[in-house]
Amino acid sequence: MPTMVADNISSGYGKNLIIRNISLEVDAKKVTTIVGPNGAGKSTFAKTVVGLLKAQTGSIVVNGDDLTKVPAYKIPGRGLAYVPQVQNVFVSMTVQENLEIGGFVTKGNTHDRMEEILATFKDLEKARHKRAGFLSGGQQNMLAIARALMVNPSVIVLDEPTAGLSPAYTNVVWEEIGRIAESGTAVLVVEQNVERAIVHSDYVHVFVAGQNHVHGTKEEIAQLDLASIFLGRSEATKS
Amino acid sequence: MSAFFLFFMTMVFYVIVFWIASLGLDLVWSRTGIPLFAYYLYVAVGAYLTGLFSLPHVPLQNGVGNLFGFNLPGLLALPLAAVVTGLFAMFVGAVFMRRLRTDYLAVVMVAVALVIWDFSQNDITLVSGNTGLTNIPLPLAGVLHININQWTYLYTGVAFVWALALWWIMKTVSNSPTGRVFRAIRDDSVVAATIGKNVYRYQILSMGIGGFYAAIAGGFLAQLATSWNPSSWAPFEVFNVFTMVIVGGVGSNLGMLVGAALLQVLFIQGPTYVASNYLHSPTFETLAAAAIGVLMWLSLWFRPQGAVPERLKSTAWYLGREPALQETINPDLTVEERA
Repeated sequence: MPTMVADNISSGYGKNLIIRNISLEVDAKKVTTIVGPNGAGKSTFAKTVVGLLKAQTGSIVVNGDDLTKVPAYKIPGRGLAYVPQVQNVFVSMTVQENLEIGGFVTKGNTHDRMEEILATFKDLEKARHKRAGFLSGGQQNMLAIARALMVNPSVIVLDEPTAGLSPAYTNVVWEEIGRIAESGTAVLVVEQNVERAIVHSDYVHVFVAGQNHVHGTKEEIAQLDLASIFLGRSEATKS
Repeated sequence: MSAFFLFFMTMVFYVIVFWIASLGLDLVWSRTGIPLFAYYLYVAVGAYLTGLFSLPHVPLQNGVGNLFGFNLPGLLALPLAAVVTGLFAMFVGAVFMRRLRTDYLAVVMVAVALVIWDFSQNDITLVSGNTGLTNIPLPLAGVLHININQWTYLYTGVAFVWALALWWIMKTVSNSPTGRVFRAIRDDSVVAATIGKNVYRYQILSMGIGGFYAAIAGGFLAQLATSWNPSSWAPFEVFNVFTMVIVGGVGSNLGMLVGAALLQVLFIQGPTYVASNYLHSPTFETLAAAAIGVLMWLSLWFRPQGAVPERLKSTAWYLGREPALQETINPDLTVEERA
Protein backbone atom coordinates (compact mmCIF):
# COMPACT_ATOMS: atom_id res chain seq x y z
CA MET A 1 0.00 0.00 0.00
CA PRO A 2 1.47 3.41 -0.96
CA THR A 3 2.41 5.71 1.94
CA MET A 4 0.82 8.73 0.28
CA VAL A 5 -1.99 8.78 -2.26
CA ALA A 6 -2.98 12.02 -3.98
CA ASP A 7 -6.11 11.39 -5.95
CA ASN A 8 -7.61 13.67 -8.61
CA ILE A 9 -6.14 16.89 -7.18
CA SER A 10 -7.13 20.22 -8.74
CA SER A 11 -5.91 23.43 -7.19
CA GLY A 12 -4.74 26.96 -7.86
CA TYR A 13 -5.02 30.55 -6.74
CA GLY A 14 -8.57 31.80 -6.32
CA LYS A 15 -10.70 30.64 -9.19
CA ASN A 16 -7.70 30.06 -11.46
CA LEU A 17 -6.84 26.41 -11.49
CA ILE A 18 -3.13 25.76 -11.99
CA ILE A 19 -3.22 21.97 -11.72
CA ARG A 20 -6.05 19.72 -12.84
CA ASN A 21 -7.01 16.19 -11.86
CA ILE A 22 -3.57 15.06 -10.78
CA SER A 23 -3.16 11.67 -9.16
CA LEU A 24 0.03 10.11 -7.91
CA GLU A 25 1.31 7.76 -5.26
CA VAL A 26 4.46 7.84 -3.18
CA ASP A 27 5.89 4.68 -1.67
CA ALA A 28 8.05 4.16 1.38
CA LYS A 29 11.78 3.72 0.71
CA LYS A 30 11.34 5.23 -2.77
CA VAL A 31 12.22 8.57 -4.29
CA THR A 32 9.39 9.83 -6.47
CA THR A 33 10.13 12.92 -8.51
CA ILE A 34 7.99 15.44 -10.33
CA VAL A 35 9.66 17.13 -13.29
CA GLY A 36 8.32 19.55 -15.83
CA PRO A 37 8.85 22.91 -17.43
CA ASN A 38 8.37 26.22 -15.62
CA GLY A 39 4.71 26.87 -14.90
CA ALA A 40 3.77 23.21 -15.11
CA GLY A 41 2.29 23.32 -11.61
CA LYS A 42 4.93 21.27 -9.78
CA SER A 43 5.30 23.60 -6.79
CA THR A 44 1.55 24.30 -6.76
CA PHE A 45 0.97 20.57 -6.41
CA ALA A 46 3.53 20.34 -3.58
CA LYS A 47 1.91 23.27 -1.77
CA THR A 48 -1.50 21.69 -2.17
CA VAL A 49 -0.33 18.38 -0.79
CA VAL A 50 0.99 20.05 2.38
CA GLY A 51 -2.09 22.24 2.88
CA LEU A 52 -0.65 25.63 1.92
CA LEU A 53 -3.15 25.72 -0.94
CA LYS A 54 -6.64 24.30 -0.80
CA ALA A 55 -7.38 21.30 -3.00
CA GLN A 56 -10.53 22.17 -4.92
CA THR A 57 -11.08 18.56 -5.89
CA GLY A 58 -9.65 15.24 -4.85
CA SER A 59 -8.03 13.88 -1.72
CA ILE A 60 -4.64 13.47 -0.07
CA VAL A 61 -4.22 10.42 2.13
CA VAL A 62 -1.11 9.55 4.15
CA ASN A 63 -0.97 6.15 5.84
CA GLY A 64 -4.75 5.90 5.48
CA ASP A 65 -5.24 9.30 7.16
CA ASP A 66 -7.19 11.79 5.01
CA LEU A 67 -5.30 15.11 5.16
CA THR A 68 -7.24 16.93 2.44
CA LYS A 69 -8.92 19.45 4.72
CA VAL A 70 -6.33 19.51 7.48
CA PRO A 71 -4.78 22.99 7.95
CA ALA A 72 -1.10 23.33 6.98
CA TYR A 73 0.15 23.73 10.53
CA LYS A 74 -1.32 20.37 11.58
CA ILE A 75 0.11 18.45 8.63
CA PRO A 76 3.66 17.85 9.99
CA GLY A 77 2.21 16.26 13.11
CA ARG A 78 0.28 13.86 10.85
CA GLY A 79 3.39 12.46 9.20
CA LEU A 80 3.86 14.72 6.18
CA ALA A 81 6.83 17.11 6.19
CA TYR A 82 7.59 19.81 3.64
CA VAL A 83 10.71 21.71 2.68
CA PRO A 84 9.99 24.89 0.69
CA GLN A 85 12.05 25.89 -2.31
CA VAL A 86 14.01 28.91 -1.06
CA GLN A 87 14.31 30.89 2.17
CA ASN A 88 13.55 27.67 3.94
CA VAL A 89 15.43 28.18 7.22
CA PHE A 90 15.07 30.65 10.07
CA VAL A 91 18.11 32.78 9.47
CA SER A 92 18.20 34.44 12.89
CA MET A 93 18.35 31.09 14.67
CA THR A 94 21.24 28.72 15.08
CA VAL A 95 21.29 25.32 13.40
CA GLN A 96 20.34 23.73 16.71
CA GLU A 97 17.46 26.14 17.29
CA ASN A 98 16.16 25.46 13.78
CA LEU A 99 16.15 21.74 14.51
CA GLU A 100 14.56 22.14 17.92
CA ILE A 101 11.73 24.30 16.63
CA GLY A 102 11.11 21.72 13.92
CA GLY A 103 10.57 19.08 16.57
CA PHE A 104 8.25 21.00 18.87
CA VAL A 105 5.12 19.54 17.27
CA THR A 106 5.97 16.02 18.36
CA LYS A 107 5.62 14.67 21.87
CA GLY A 108 8.80 12.62 21.81
CA ASN A 109 12.21 13.63 23.07
CA THR A 110 13.27 16.47 20.77
CA HIS A 111 16.84 16.43 22.04
CA ASP A 112 17.43 12.76 21.28
CA ARG A 113 15.92 13.10 17.83
CA MET A 114 18.07 16.14 17.13
CA GLU A 115 21.25 14.29 18.14
CA GLU A 116 20.20 11.40 15.94
CA ILE A 117 19.78 13.73 12.98
CA LEU A 118 22.98 15.65 13.65
CA ALA A 119 24.83 12.34 13.74
CA THR A 120 23.58 11.79 10.18
CA PHE A 121 24.17 15.32 8.90
CA LYS A 122 27.81 15.67 9.87
CA ASP A 123 28.20 19.11 8.31
CA LEU A 124 25.35 20.48 10.39
CA GLU A 125 26.85 18.95 13.52
CA LYS A 126 29.99 20.99 12.94
CA ALA A 127 27.89 24.13 12.55
CA ARG A 128 25.26 23.47 15.21
CA HIS A 129 25.87 26.77 17.03
CA LYS A 130 26.17 28.89 13.89
CA ARG A 131 23.29 31.05 12.82
CA ALA A 132 21.52 29.59 9.81
CA GLY A 133 21.97 32.89 7.99
CA PHE A 134 25.72 32.22 7.91
CA LEU A 135 25.39 28.86 6.16
CA SER A 136 25.89 28.43 2.44
CA GLY A 137 22.86 27.87 0.22
CA GLY A 138 23.50 24.12 0.11
CA GLN A 139 23.92 23.88 3.85
CA GLN A 140 20.72 25.85 4.38
CA ASN A 141 18.89 23.36 2.19
CA MET A 142 20.42 20.50 4.18
CA LEU A 143 19.30 22.18 7.39
CA ALA A 144 15.76 22.61 6.05
CA ILE A 145 15.67 18.91 5.17
CA ALA A 146 17.09 17.93 8.55
CA ARG A 147 14.53 20.13 10.31
CA ALA A 148 11.70 18.48 8.38
CA LEU A 149 13.00 15.09 9.51
CA MET A 150 12.71 16.13 13.18
CA VAL A 151 9.06 15.00 13.19
CA ASN A 152 10.10 11.60 11.84
CA PRO A 153 7.70 11.90 8.90
CA SER A 154 6.31 9.08 6.80
CA VAL A 155 6.50 11.31 3.74
CA ILE A 156 8.79 14.24 3.03
CA VAL A 157 8.05 16.65 0.18
CA LEU A 158 11.07 18.58 -1.13
CA ASP A 159 10.43 21.52 -3.43
CA GLU A 160 13.50 21.96 -5.65
CA PRO A 161 16.06 21.10 -2.98
CA THR A 162 18.95 21.71 -5.39
CA ALA A 163 17.78 25.07 -6.75
CA GLY A 164 20.69 27.48 -7.06
CA LEU A 165 23.32 24.99 -5.93
CA SER A 166 26.59 24.15 -7.63
CA PRO A 167 26.59 20.88 -9.61
CA ALA A 168 28.92 19.30 -7.05
CA TYR A 169 26.72 20.22 -4.11
CA THR A 170 23.65 19.10 -6.05
CA ASN A 171 25.06 15.57 -5.99
CA VAL A 172 25.59 15.82 -2.25
CA VAL A 173 21.97 16.80 -1.70
CA TRP A 174 20.71 13.99 -3.93
CA GLU A 175 22.84 11.48 -2.03
CA GLU A 176 21.26 12.65 1.22
CA ILE A 177 17.81 12.31 -0.35
CA GLY A 178 18.67 8.74 -1.31
CA ARG A 179 19.71 8.00 2.26
CA ILE A 180 16.47 9.42 3.62
CA ALA A 181 14.50 7.09 1.35
CA GLU A 182 16.66 4.13 2.37
CA SER A 183 15.82 4.84 6.00
CA GLY A 184 12.18 4.07 5.22
CA THR A 185 10.70 7.50 4.44
CA ALA A 186 8.67 8.07 1.29
CA VAL A 187 10.26 10.97 -0.59
CA LEU A 188 8.53 13.23 -3.11
CA VAL A 189 10.85 15.66 -4.88
CA VAL A 190 9.95 18.54 -7.19
CA GLU A 191 12.89 19.03 -9.53
CA GLN A 192 13.80 21.18 -12.52
CA ASN A 193 16.86 19.21 -13.57
CA VAL A 194 15.41 16.27 -15.48
CA GLU A 195 18.66 14.38 -15.98
CA ARG A 196 19.54 14.35 -12.30
CA ALA A 197 15.96 13.48 -11.36
CA ILE A 198 16.04 10.46 -13.61
CA VAL A 199 19.39 9.31 -12.26
CA HIS A 200 18.41 9.57 -8.60
CA SER A 201 14.70 8.69 -8.62
CA ASP A 202 12.80 5.45 -8.53
CA TYR A 203 9.66 6.82 -10.14
CA VAL A 204 9.15 9.97 -12.21
CA HIS A 205 6.06 12.05 -12.99
CA VAL A 206 6.21 14.56 -15.83
CA PHE A 207 3.91 17.54 -15.34
CA VAL A 208 3.01 19.68 -18.34
CA ALA A 209 0.53 22.57 -18.29
CA GLY A 210 -0.93 21.61 -14.92
CA GLN A 211 -1.46 17.95 -15.70
CA ASN A 212 0.34 14.73 -14.92
CA HIS A 213 1.28 14.16 -18.55
CA VAL A 214 3.20 10.92 -18.22
CA HIS A 215 4.73 8.86 -15.45
CA GLY A 216 6.77 5.73 -15.04
CA THR A 217 9.91 4.21 -13.63
CA LYS A 218 13.10 6.10 -14.29
CA GLU A 219 14.02 3.58 -16.98
CA GLU A 220 10.68 4.12 -18.74
CA ILE A 221 10.91 7.91 -18.53
CA ALA A 222 14.50 7.84 -19.77
CA GLN A 223 13.17 6.37 -23.04
CA LEU A 224 10.99 9.40 -23.67
CA ASP A 225 11.79 12.56 -25.60
CA LEU A 226 11.12 14.88 -22.67
CA ALA A 227 12.06 17.99 -24.61
CA SER A 228 9.18 17.32 -26.98
CA ILE A 229 6.85 16.58 -24.12
CA PHE A 230 7.84 19.82 -22.37
CA LEU A 231 7.07 21.69 -25.58
CA GLY A 232 3.66 20.06 -25.75
CA ARG A 233 4.30 17.74 -28.67
CA SER A 234 2.56 14.41 -28.66
CA GLU A 235 5.58 12.40 -29.91
CA ALA A 236 6.97 11.16 -26.67
CA THR A 237 9.46 8.44 -27.55
CA LYS A 238 13.05 9.22 -28.43
CA SER A 239 13.74 8.54 -32.08
CA MET B 1 12.92 69.78 46.33
CA SER B 2 13.82 71.98 43.41
CA ALA B 3 11.78 72.40 40.26
CA PHE B 4 14.61 70.79 38.33
CA PHE B 5 14.45 67.67 40.49
CA LEU B 6 10.73 67.43 39.88
CA PHE B 7 11.36 67.78 36.15
CA PHE B 8 14.11 65.17 36.37
CA MET B 9 11.88 62.66 38.14
CA THR B 10 9.06 63.31 35.66
CA MET B 11 11.51 62.65 32.85
CA VAL B 12 12.60 59.40 34.50
CA PHE B 13 8.91 58.49 34.76
CA TYR B 14 8.49 59.05 31.01
CA VAL B 15 11.61 57.03 30.23
CA ILE B 16 10.25 54.11 32.26
CA VAL B 17 6.79 54.35 30.71
CA PHE B 18 8.14 54.44 27.16
CA TRP B 19 10.51 51.58 27.96
CA ILE B 20 7.38 49.54 28.70
CA ALA B 21 5.72 50.79 25.49
CA SER B 22 8.84 49.97 23.46
CA LEU B 23 9.03 46.46 24.89
CA GLY B 24 5.50 45.78 23.66
CA LEU B 25 6.06 47.18 20.18
CA ASP B 26 9.38 45.34 19.95
CA LEU B 27 7.61 42.04 20.57
CA VAL B 28 4.93 42.65 17.98
CA TRP B 29 7.04 44.31 15.29
CA SER B 30 10.66 43.24 15.75
CA ARG B 31 10.13 39.76 17.07
CA THR B 32 6.94 38.69 15.31
CA GLY B 33 7.17 40.84 12.19
CA ILE B 34 3.75 42.51 12.40
CA PRO B 35 3.79 46.13 11.14
CA LEU B 36 1.57 47.39 13.95
CA PHE B 37 1.15 51.06 13.11
CA ALA B 38 -1.94 51.12 15.32
CA TYR B 39 0.20 50.51 18.40
CA TYR B 40 -0.38 53.96 19.87
CA LEU B 41 -4.09 53.29 19.68
CA TYR B 42 -3.58 50.63 22.36
CA VAL B 43 -1.64 53.13 24.47
CA ALA B 44 -4.66 55.42 24.22
CA VAL B 45 -7.20 52.66 24.88
CA GLY B 46 -5.22 51.66 27.97
CA ALA B 47 -5.20 55.28 29.15
CA TYR B 48 -8.94 55.74 28.59
CA LEU B 49 -9.79 52.45 30.29
CA THR B 50 -7.53 53.16 33.27
CA GLY B 51 -9.36 56.47 33.65
CA LEU B 52 -12.79 54.93 33.26
CA PHE B 53 -12.08 52.10 35.68
CA SER B 54 -10.79 54.45 38.35
CA LEU B 55 -13.38 57.24 37.92
CA PRO B 56 -16.97 57.09 39.12
CA HIS B 57 -19.71 57.02 36.53
CA VAL B 58 -20.62 60.56 35.45
CA PRO B 59 -23.90 60.78 33.51
CA LEU B 60 -23.61 62.82 30.34
CA GLN B 61 -24.53 66.45 30.94
CA ASN B 62 -23.61 69.45 28.76
CA GLY B 63 -21.33 67.28 26.67
CA VAL B 64 -19.33 66.04 29.63
CA GLY B 65 -19.58 62.61 31.17
CA ASN B 66 -18.47 59.04 30.74
CA LEU B 67 -20.47 56.02 29.73
CA PHE B 68 -19.35 54.01 32.70
CA GLY B 69 -17.02 54.24 35.67
CA PHE B 70 -16.08 51.64 38.25
CA ASN B 71 -14.41 53.83 40.85
CA LEU B 72 -11.72 51.18 41.36
CA PRO B 73 -8.40 51.88 43.07
CA GLY B 74 -5.88 53.15 40.53
CA LEU B 75 -3.44 50.32 41.21
CA LEU B 76 -6.15 47.82 40.25
CA ALA B 77 -7.59 49.85 37.38
CA LEU B 78 -4.24 49.84 35.58
CA PRO B 79 -3.73 46.07 35.14
CA LEU B 80 -7.44 45.56 34.53
CA ALA B 81 -7.34 48.13 31.72
CA ALA B 82 -4.26 46.40 30.33
CA VAL B 83 -5.97 43.01 30.25
CA VAL B 84 -9.03 44.44 28.48
CA THR B 85 -6.82 46.33 26.00
CA GLY B 86 -4.87 43.14 25.35
CA LEU B 87 -8.11 41.36 24.53
CA PHE B 88 -9.14 44.28 22.30
CA ALA B 89 -5.79 44.08 20.50
CA MET B 90 -6.31 40.35 19.98
CA PHE B 91 -9.75 41.04 18.54
CA VAL B 92 -8.36 43.66 16.13
CA GLY B 93 -5.62 41.23 15.17
CA ALA B 94 -8.04 38.36 14.68
CA VAL B 95 -10.18 40.47 12.35
CA PHE B 96 -7.47 42.06 10.22
CA MET B 97 -4.72 39.45 10.19
CA ARG B 98 -6.97 36.72 8.86
CA ARG B 99 -6.62 38.01 5.32
CA LEU B 100 -4.03 40.80 5.38
CA ARG B 101 -0.25 40.66 5.38
CA THR B 102 2.72 43.05 5.32
CA ASP B 103 2.08 46.36 3.53
CA TYR B 104 -1.68 45.95 3.37
CA LEU B 105 -1.88 45.13 7.06
CA ALA B 106 0.30 48.16 7.84
CA VAL B 107 -1.98 50.52 5.90
CA VAL B 108 -5.11 49.09 7.50
CA MET B 109 -3.57 49.42 10.96
CA VAL B 110 -2.89 53.13 10.32
CA ALA B 111 -6.49 53.51 9.15
CA VAL B 112 -7.88 51.75 12.23
CA ALA B 113 -5.92 54.07 14.54
CA LEU B 114 -7.01 57.18 12.62
CA VAL B 115 -10.67 56.15 12.58
CA ILE B 116 -10.74 55.54 16.32
CA TRP B 117 -8.82 58.76 17.02
CA ASP B 118 -11.37 60.66 14.95
CA PHE B 119 -14.18 58.86 16.75
CA SER B 120 -12.71 59.80 20.14
CA GLN B 121 -12.72 63.47 19.12
CA ASN B 122 -16.28 63.55 17.88
CA ASP B 123 -18.21 61.16 20.07
CA ILE B 124 -19.27 62.76 23.36
CA THR B 125 -21.27 59.86 24.77
CA LEU B 126 -18.40 57.53 25.60
CA VAL B 127 -15.56 59.67 26.96
CA SER B 128 -16.71 63.29 26.40
CA GLY B 129 -15.12 63.84 22.99
CA ASN B 130 -12.42 66.50 23.03
CA THR B 131 -12.94 67.16 26.73
CA GLY B 132 -11.96 63.63 27.51
CA LEU B 133 -11.47 62.25 30.99
CA THR B 134 -10.48 64.62 33.77
CA ASN B 135 -9.62 64.28 37.46
CA ILE B 136 -8.30 60.75 37.07
CA PRO B 137 -7.33 59.88 40.66
CA LEU B 138 -3.69 59.62 41.67
CA PRO B 139 -3.27 56.10 43.04
CA LEU B 140 -2.18 55.99 46.68
CA ALA B 141 -2.16 59.79 47.01
CA GLY B 142 -5.30 59.89 49.15
CA VAL B 143 -4.26 56.95 51.31
CA LEU B 144 -0.77 58.28 52.00
CA HIS B 145 -1.82 61.95 52.21
CA ILE B 146 0.96 63.15 49.92
CA ASN B 147 1.06 66.08 47.51
CA ILE B 148 1.44 65.71 43.76
CA ASN B 149 5.20 66.22 43.78
CA GLN B 150 5.71 63.53 46.40
CA TRP B 151 3.29 61.35 44.47
CA THR B 152 5.36 61.78 41.30
CA TYR B 153 8.47 60.52 43.10
CA LEU B 154 6.57 57.61 44.62
CA TYR B 155 4.81 56.64 41.44
CA THR B 156 8.06 56.75 39.46
CA GLY B 157 9.18 53.99 41.79
CA VAL B 158 5.94 52.09 41.25
CA ALA B 159 6.36 52.43 37.49
CA PHE B 160 9.95 51.19 37.79
CA VAL B 161 8.82 48.07 39.65
CA TRP B 162 6.21 47.46 36.95
CA ALA B 163 8.83 47.96 34.25
CA LEU B 164 11.24 45.52 35.87
CA ALA B 165 8.49 42.91 36.14
CA LEU B 166 7.42 43.44 32.51
CA TRP B 167 11.06 43.34 31.37
CA TRP B 168 11.55 40.01 33.15
CA ILE B 169 8.33 38.63 31.63
CA MET B 170 9.40 39.77 28.17
CA LYS B 171 12.83 38.22 28.65
CA THR B 172 11.22 34.95 29.71
CA VAL B 173 8.78 34.99 26.78
CA SER B 174 11.59 35.82 24.33
CA ASN B 175 13.68 32.86 25.46
CA SER B 176 10.76 30.42 25.62
CA PRO B 177 9.65 28.10 22.81
CA THR B 178 6.82 30.58 22.19
CA GLY B 179 9.35 33.39 21.74
CA ARG B 180 11.24 31.24 19.29
CA VAL B 181 8.06 30.67 17.30
CA PHE B 182 7.56 34.45 17.18
CA ARG B 183 11.05 34.78 15.71
CA ALA B 184 10.35 31.97 13.27
CA ILE B 185 7.24 33.79 12.07
CA ARG B 186 9.26 36.98 11.68
CA ASP B 187 11.90 35.15 9.63
CA ASP B 188 9.33 33.44 7.39
CA SER B 189 5.69 32.87 8.26
CA VAL B 190 5.14 30.29 5.49
CA VAL B 191 8.05 28.15 6.64
CA ALA B 192 6.79 28.49 10.22
CA ALA B 193 3.43 27.09 9.10
CA THR B 194 5.09 24.19 7.30
CA ILE B 195 6.83 23.05 10.47
CA GLY B 196 3.56 22.89 12.36
CA LYS B 197 3.07 26.35 13.82
CA ASN B 198 -0.33 28.01 13.77
CA VAL B 199 0.98 31.36 12.55
CA TYR B 200 -2.36 33.16 12.85
CA ARG B 201 -2.81 32.22 16.51
CA TYR B 202 0.74 33.15 17.44
CA GLN B 203 0.38 36.52 15.70
CA ILE B 204 -2.82 37.22 17.64
CA LEU B 205 -1.10 36.21 20.88
CA SER B 206 1.74 38.59 20.09
CA MET B 207 -0.76 41.38 19.41
CA GLY B 208 -2.45 40.67 22.75
CA ILE B 209 0.79 40.83 24.72
CA GLY B 210 1.80 43.99 22.84
CA GLY B 211 -1.59 45.54 23.59
CA PHE B 212 -1.15 44.73 27.28
CA TYR B 213 2.23 46.48 27.41
CA ALA B 214 0.91 49.48 25.46
CA ALA B 215 -2.03 49.81 27.86
CA ILE B 216 0.20 49.74 30.95
CA ALA B 217 2.20 52.59 29.41
CA GLY B 218 -1.00 54.47 28.51
CA GLY B 219 -2.46 53.95 31.98
CA PHE B 220 0.64 55.41 33.60
CA LEU B 221 0.54 58.42 31.25
CA ALA B 222 -3.12 59.08 32.10
CA GLN B 223 -2.51 58.76 35.83
CA LEU B 224 0.47 61.13 35.71
CA ALA B 225 -1.49 63.72 33.74
CA THR B 226 -4.72 63.04 35.72
CA SER B 227 -6.54 63.48 32.44
CA TRP B 228 -6.74 61.93 28.97
CA ASN B 229 -8.30 63.34 25.83
CA PRO B 230 -7.69 63.28 22.05
CA SER B 231 -5.02 65.98 22.35
CA SER B 232 -3.06 63.70 24.72
CA TRP B 233 -2.32 61.32 21.91
CA ALA B 234 -2.22 60.99 18.17
CA PRO B 235 -1.81 57.83 16.07
CA PHE B 236 1.38 59.14 14.45
CA GLU B 237 3.10 59.24 17.85
CA VAL B 238 3.67 55.56 17.18
CA PHE B 239 6.66 56.65 15.10
CA ASN B 240 8.34 57.95 18.25
CA VAL B 241 8.02 54.49 19.74
CA PHE B 242 9.26 52.93 16.49
CA THR B 243 12.29 55.23 16.70
CA MET B 244 12.95 54.13 20.28
CA VAL B 245 12.87 50.50 19.13
CA ILE B 246 15.13 51.12 16.13
CA VAL B 247 17.62 53.34 17.94
CA GLY B 248 17.70 51.06 20.99
CA GLY B 249 18.15 47.88 18.94
CA VAL B 250 15.34 45.75 17.60
CA GLY B 251 14.84 42.57 19.57
CA SER B 252 16.83 43.83 22.55
CA ASN B 253 14.95 44.30 25.83
CA LEU B 254 17.66 46.48 27.34
CA GLY B 255 18.00 48.33 24.04
CA MET B 256 14.41 49.47 24.51
CA LEU B 257 15.44 51.23 27.72
CA VAL B 258 18.32 52.94 25.94
CA GLY B 259 16.07 53.99 23.04
CA ALA B 260 13.38 55.34 25.36
CA ALA B 261 15.98 57.25 27.43
CA LEU B 262 17.68 58.72 24.37
CA LEU B 263 14.47 60.03 22.86
CA GLN B 264 12.88 61.26 26.05
CA VAL B 265 15.98 63.01 27.39
CA LEU B 266 17.43 64.46 24.19
CA PHE B 267 14.44 64.93 21.93
CA ILE B 268 11.19 65.16 23.91
CA GLN B 269 11.30 66.03 27.63
CA GLY B 270 14.73 67.71 27.61
CA PRO B 271 13.95 70.18 24.82
CA THR B 272 10.56 70.92 26.41
CA TYR B 273 12.28 71.88 29.66
CA VAL B 274 14.95 73.96 27.92
CA ALA B 275 12.39 75.69 25.69
CA SER B 276 10.08 76.63 28.53
CA ASN B 277 12.71 77.61 31.11
CA TYR B 278 15.52 79.15 29.11
CA LEU B 279 14.74 79.81 25.46
CA HIS B 280 11.07 80.67 25.86
CA SER B 281 10.57 79.56 22.30
CA PRO B 282 8.35 76.74 21.14
CA THR B 283 10.36 76.59 17.89
CA PHE B 284 13.23 74.79 19.63
CA GLU B 285 10.82 72.19 20.98
CA THR B 286 9.31 71.68 17.53
CA LEU B 287 12.73 71.34 15.91
CA ALA B 288 13.72 68.77 18.51
CA ALA B 289 10.60 66.76 17.72
CA ALA B 290 11.38 66.98 14.00
CA ALA B 291 14.93 65.80 14.72
CA ILE B 292 13.49 62.46 15.85
CA GLY B 293 13.02 61.61 12.18
CA VAL B 294 16.63 62.51 11.48
CA LEU B 295 17.71 60.34 14.41
CA MET B 296 15.82 57.38 12.99
CA TRP B 297 17.43 57.94 9.59
CA LEU B 298 20.94 58.25 11.03
CA SER B 299 20.44 55.18 13.17
CA LEU B 300 19.27 53.08 10.22
CA TRP B 301 22.13 54.38 8.08
CA PHE B 302 25.06 54.08 10.48
CA ARG B 303 23.97 51.59 13.13
CA PRO B 304 21.01 49.52 11.93
CA GLN B 305 21.49 47.01 14.76
CA GLY B 306 20.78 49.79 17.28
CA ALA B 307 22.56 50.87 20.45
CA VAL B 308 22.18 47.47 22.15
CA PRO B 309 21.84 44.84 19.43
CA GLU B 310 19.71 41.74 19.81
CA ARG B 311 21.65 39.10 21.74
CA LEU B 312 21.30 36.33 19.24
CA LYS B 313 24.80 36.67 17.95
CA SER B 314 28.10 35.88 19.56
CA THR B 315 30.38 38.66 20.76
CA ALA B 316 32.79 37.74 17.98
CA TRP B 317 30.08 38.44 15.45
CA TYR B 318 29.72 41.99 16.71
CA LEU B 319 33.44 42.46 16.31
CA GLY B 320 33.23 41.17 12.76
CA ARG B 321 35.65 38.33 13.41
CA GLU B 322 33.39 35.44 12.59
CA PRO B 323 33.64 34.55 8.91
CA ALA B 324 30.73 33.15 6.98
CA LEU B 325 30.85 29.39 7.31
CA GLN B 326 32.64 27.80 4.41
CA GLU B 327 31.29 24.72 2.73
CA THR B 328 33.08 21.94 4.53
CA ILE B 329 31.83 19.19 2.28
CA ASN B 330 34.14 17.69 -0.26
CA PRO B 331 31.64 17.04 -3.03
CA ASP B 332 33.93 14.50 -4.66
CA LEU B 333 33.41 12.11 -1.76
CA THR B 334 30.36 9.90 -1.30
CA VAL B 335 28.13 10.18 1.75
CA GLU B 336 29.75 7.10 3.29
CA GLU B 337 33.25 8.44 2.72
CA ARG B 338 32.34 11.79 4.24
CA ALA B 339 30.72 10.15 7.24
